[in-house]
Amino acid sequence: MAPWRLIPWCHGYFLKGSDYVTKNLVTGIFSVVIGLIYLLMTLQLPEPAMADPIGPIVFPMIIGLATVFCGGLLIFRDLKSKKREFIKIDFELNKGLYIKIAVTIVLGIIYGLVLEPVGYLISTFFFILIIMFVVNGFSRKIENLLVSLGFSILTYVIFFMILQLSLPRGLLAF
Amino acid sequence: MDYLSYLLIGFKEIISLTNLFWIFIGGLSGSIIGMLPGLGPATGVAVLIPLTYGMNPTTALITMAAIYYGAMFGGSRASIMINTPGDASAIATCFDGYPMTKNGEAGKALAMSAIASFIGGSISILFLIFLTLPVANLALQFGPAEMFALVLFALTATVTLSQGNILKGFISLFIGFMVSTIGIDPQTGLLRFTMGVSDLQNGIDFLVAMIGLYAVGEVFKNYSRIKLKYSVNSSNIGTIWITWDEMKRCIKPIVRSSPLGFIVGVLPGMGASIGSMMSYTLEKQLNKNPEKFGKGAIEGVAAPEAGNNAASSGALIPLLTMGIPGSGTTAVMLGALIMLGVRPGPVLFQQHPEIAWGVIASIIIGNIFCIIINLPLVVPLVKLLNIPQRILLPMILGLAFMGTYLMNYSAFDFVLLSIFGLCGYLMSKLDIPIPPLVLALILGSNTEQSFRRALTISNGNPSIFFEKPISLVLLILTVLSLVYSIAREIKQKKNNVEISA
Repeated sequence: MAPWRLIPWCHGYFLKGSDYVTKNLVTGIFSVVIGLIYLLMTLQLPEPAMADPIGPIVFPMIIGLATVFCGGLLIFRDLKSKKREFIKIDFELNKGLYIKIAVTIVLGIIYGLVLEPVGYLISTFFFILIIMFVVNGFSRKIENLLVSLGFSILTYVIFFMILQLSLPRGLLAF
Repeated sequence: MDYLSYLLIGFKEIISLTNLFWIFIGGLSGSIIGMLPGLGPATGVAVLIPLTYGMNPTTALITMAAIYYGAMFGGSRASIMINTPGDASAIATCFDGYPMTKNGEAGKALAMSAIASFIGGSISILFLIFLTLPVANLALQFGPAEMFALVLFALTATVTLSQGNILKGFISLFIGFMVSTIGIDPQTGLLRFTMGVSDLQNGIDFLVAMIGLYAVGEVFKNYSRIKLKYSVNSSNIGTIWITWDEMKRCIKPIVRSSPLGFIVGVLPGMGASIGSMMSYTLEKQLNKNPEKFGKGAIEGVAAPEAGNNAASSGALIPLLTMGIPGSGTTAVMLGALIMLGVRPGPVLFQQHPEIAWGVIASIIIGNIFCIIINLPLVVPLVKLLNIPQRILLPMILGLAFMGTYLMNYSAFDFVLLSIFGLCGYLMSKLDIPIPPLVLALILGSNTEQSFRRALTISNGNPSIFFEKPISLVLLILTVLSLVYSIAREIKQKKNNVEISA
């Protein structure tokens, strides 16, 4: 069962889409929030003792204010607009897509962690292999195996042996 | 003759087996990446950056340029064969290219598009040869005030001249600026916006951000059409050639589209996609039988193809002479070059004329390679369209991660790469344009520093920006481009009201 089903409001909201959230509204709210956080961080910056007449704070201040202004204007114009396109996200339909994206991100971070201790060849092989299983499907086992094996060996040969860039060899330190 | 001797220096610099090999490889991989739907030239350059790591600056620059114009050649293959443009600059080619395929004239369309690309590219090289030096000399006189005004104009124009919501464009631009301010401030040494993460002290590497946005983000976007399979039947392409009569019909459209595309390419924010679209529209208006357009008119393939190749050469002018990219693709190229220690700009023409002119010379050779790749080799090439997305995407991901790792040997970059990939996906879902963000990322630090340096010179008096004539003109242009885009939006709104009323 999908987790958002636990909360009835969430379920209905995501499944049917809402009639008040538009792309422009989301963008506007997002940029007002980001702009305000950025401004707050700018205000907390210490004034450096030695600085040019403008200093390192004025420019970020302008950027922060401009972001809040643009976001606010976007929200205002969206609420006044007569032709609003509402976001309709079907979470059930897109479940596969979100799983693929999440798996890719998690795998990418793990890949970064094991790359140096394990080495390029082995970690890349498994990285591509798992992504192939998720993206290409579990039924095409041999295809997945061949592509990930081919990719890791080919890139290793091209970049490590021909272009002579240094790649971590890890466990296969021959 | 000045230009000719410079060009000879350029040729001398690049004529070597290694360089010719890489021009060919660049053109070939550009053609392939440009052809594959969902992977545009920006993604192509981003993913292939690792190829250039071990190279000397000249070879790296000519390889990336070859990928770029190779993609302009390749983009039309998919438009013609499967009615799906390989990238945005090949959209206009679908209008008549695919109808030609349905009429059984795929071979003709493929041949015409390659020939038009070649002629369009060749004509625009002439402009490139004669324009770069004067522009570089002009840019050489720029002080901090002029530089700030120029960057401001380029960034504003990227938002205002492109299609779509201006406010969202500016939001994208400002977020790019925010990211560019993360790290140590070069003038005072103050740590800004690192949120206590020590890996952020040196700032976010803009190449990592770009690979995330363009390569990983594109892969995420394409995950939703994973089941899509394009099938190309190469047996009914027919002969890849055109008759002399068809050539005569197309020569005028090609000659007209090339300067048009070139000028559009020079302007920031316009680029090859608008260049090809404008060329198509112009030819449709000028043609004696405009009703044939859209039903398989060969002129409708020739015009946009000449236009987009000319635009890609035009885009090299601001990049090479001023170090200012006008599009996402040129921004990625600039990022890769900076990492290799080459800073394009007027100084490059003074100190390393052989690199700057080597690139121009390489385009002449690359154009010849690309027409060879795209004419006789087109049949095996279009068969690559049969590679399913579900196999292609994991490999793109692999290249993106490997390229990122090879840049700084930092595993922390993988976290950033994933975050930016997700950002790229969400931005495209919310219709926020990515190019302004990428441009601000790469020019952000430059903008702030020249702003502050100019005001240091004037002791904090902002009138310095209005007293220098070049800076004043650029600032006026910036305001004009803003006014133009606001007026355009108001007009569109009126039209919408009329339609709904």
